[in-house]
Amino acid sequence: VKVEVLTAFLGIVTAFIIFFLVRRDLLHLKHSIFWILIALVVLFFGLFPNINIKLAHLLGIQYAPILPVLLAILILFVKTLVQDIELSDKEKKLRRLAQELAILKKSLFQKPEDETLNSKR
Amino acid sequence: MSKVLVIIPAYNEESNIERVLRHSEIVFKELEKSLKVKLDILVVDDGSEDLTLKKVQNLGVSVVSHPFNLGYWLALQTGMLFGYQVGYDYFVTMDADEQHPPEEVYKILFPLIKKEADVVIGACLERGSTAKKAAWNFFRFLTGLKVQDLTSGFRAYNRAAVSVLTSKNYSIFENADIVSLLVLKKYGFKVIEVPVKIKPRGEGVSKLFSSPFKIGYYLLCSLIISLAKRSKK
Repeated sequence: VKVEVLTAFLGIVTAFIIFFLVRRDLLHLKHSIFWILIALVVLFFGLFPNINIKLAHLLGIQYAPILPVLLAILILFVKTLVQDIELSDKEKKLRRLAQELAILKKSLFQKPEDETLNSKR
Repeated sequence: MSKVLVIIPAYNEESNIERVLRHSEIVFKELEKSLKVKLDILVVDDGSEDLTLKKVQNLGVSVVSHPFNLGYWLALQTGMLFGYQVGYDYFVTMDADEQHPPEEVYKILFPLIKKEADVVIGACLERGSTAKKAAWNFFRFLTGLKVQDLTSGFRAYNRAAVSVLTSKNYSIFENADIVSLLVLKKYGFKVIEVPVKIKPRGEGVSKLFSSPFKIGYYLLCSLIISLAKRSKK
């Protein structure tokens, strides 16, 4: 099997997996856009391998097949960093939510006559 | 009359919490009279898996309970958040492991009430080992902070300082003893230190520094945050 066919096949399979995940509500729509774009890029390079060679030549890369590998590493690096930023934001919100919940629970179960904080004091 | 909230974060402190609370209540009754303030205790149970929460509730002391463990700083922040929303004027933070004697609270509260500072740190330099003192010196050099006892959790804050520290953005901190000082410095708050006595821990082991790995993690986090948050002000 020629490598171009394999790459194009990978692109199509990736796109199908993404659509399947969106259909099953397992992947948020905003994340699916990134992966569909990746699938399209993979498909594009698979169908037109010469583009890769020309692009590598243009960038001064002597061994052309390394270009998609480099690009993949770069994209995955950025994606992981963005994910960690998003995760930190979620963590921040989750922590504040837990704090607010704890305070709310206290207010809910506090006795009405308990004007001061320490009822026995 | 000014209202003071004493925040005691507690995580799996069933062996110490009762003694701390009983003793604090007696001491604070006297302190209320001498300082002419209203003093309340709030325990923040940080998702304890032992009988800490039950014991605090049985004593009738006010408690806020995290649904899961969030860490020391978040427990302090929850206490501050609650106190700020309720309308307290001053906030004292002390540990639930008997290290911070309630008798010493007046030393950190008094300068605050007299408006001598926005934040008062109860400092005890004698408690530091050689390694700890070396770490303090290193972080002082790195951050430009003038505070001697950087890691003391025995502190008193006024309402303005708490309004900044309770910001949602600061919920991301892990251990905020150093970074909270950097935030206070950034906003121009006056931070002073007063010498206090600090006792050895009651029963059990420290949750924060129970293994070399935890100490390493703490130092690494402090190093990154110190470099990232240092300001020239």
